[in-house]
Amino acid sequence: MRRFLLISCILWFSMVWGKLIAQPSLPEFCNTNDSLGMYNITLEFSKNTVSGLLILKKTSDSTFRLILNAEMGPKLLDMELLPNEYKTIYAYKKLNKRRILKTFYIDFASLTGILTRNKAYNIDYSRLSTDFTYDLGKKNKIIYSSEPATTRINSGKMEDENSINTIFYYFYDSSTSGISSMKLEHQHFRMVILLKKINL
Amino acid sequence: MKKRNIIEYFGGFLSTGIFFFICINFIQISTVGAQSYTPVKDVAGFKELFTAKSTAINTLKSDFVQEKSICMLNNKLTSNGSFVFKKANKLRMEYANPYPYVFVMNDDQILIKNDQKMSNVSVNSNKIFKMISQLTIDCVTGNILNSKDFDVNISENAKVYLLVLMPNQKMIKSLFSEIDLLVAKSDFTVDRIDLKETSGDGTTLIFSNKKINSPVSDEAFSVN
Repeated sequence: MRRFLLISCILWFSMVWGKLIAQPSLPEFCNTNDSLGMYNITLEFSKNTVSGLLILKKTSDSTFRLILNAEMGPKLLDMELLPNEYKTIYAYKKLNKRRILKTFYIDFASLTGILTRNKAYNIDYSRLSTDFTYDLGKKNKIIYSSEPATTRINSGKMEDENSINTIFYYFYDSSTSGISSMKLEHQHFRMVILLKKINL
Repeated sequence: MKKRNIIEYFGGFLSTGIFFFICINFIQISTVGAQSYTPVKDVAGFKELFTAKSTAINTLKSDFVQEKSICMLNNKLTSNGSFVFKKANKLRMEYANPYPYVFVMNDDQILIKNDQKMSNVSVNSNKIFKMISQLTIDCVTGNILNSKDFDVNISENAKVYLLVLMPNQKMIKSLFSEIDLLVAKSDFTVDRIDLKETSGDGTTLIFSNKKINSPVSDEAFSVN
């Protein structure tokens, strides 16, 4: 009887605490076999449009290498995304400005979850969606949201105390349940990143 | 203020280039594809012939294979599609694999179409595309030999001419350290373009099934 009660208590606690400590389920951005993810990228900013190939390589649990190529040729950006910083390996001269690189870093680190890796978060079940809120300091927050019926994240936003800076969405392949495309949109200036996964 | 600065930075990145160039003074004998080449003795004669033959090309259709070498990756990324050129300044590159993508340049207008969306842009707002497509056109039409943007070294073997182009124009130099062209001796059309980047990566375009001066409708270059 004692044993039964003990097991019941453990099961009950694990159910309750399992829910409380649920991890936000961000999609796998890279293939498991080669740790590579390739995406067709369309980048719109101001009146400019650039399309090309974005390559993500998972170099460790908390780092990604990101390479941006113009569609018809040259590499424009090669950087490493880490939880609290980025390292520029190559940047085309006109992209090689701190403000631009930081914008890219924050955008892609938000999308990939690198920015929130191993950080504490709060969960809010009170809304229609389940929200995972990460306090990044300096009044910046990232909030990932999932539908109540699923555990996978389907949207997110980055905000400060005054307003939302970026909103992003994840779209999944209905047959494989893997990521099929992503969209990130800046709210304070015109910049939209569209990513579509491709298999080479 | 913050908003304006970011837009200026991003807009600026497509506006001009930088000086970043590996200087190679000359190539006496070069090797491409393990074949040896000897310098062309009558350079002026070659230029004249190449220009004359290229001038006679009003349209050119071909298939192409694009191989992208990226230092980080072990394997090359290969794509293929069709290439259509029409005088004076119309280019259509339609990628079929690994995913559909269409790039059309019609004078100063560019159309980019993929399965995510279709965008019409002015060449003035996308100078990298403009530069690369203009380079491709200049290579095909032979204008590249008369361009002040490159120093050219010409060598040959039994089947092809090898043109080694060393960029001296700022924007081109910022992206490419060298561009190699293989020109078929049989019809003076370009068989292969090797774009060697300053980053160490590279892109190769290999043309096949070339059809010179076959009918090409202007519809192919519609940007609407």
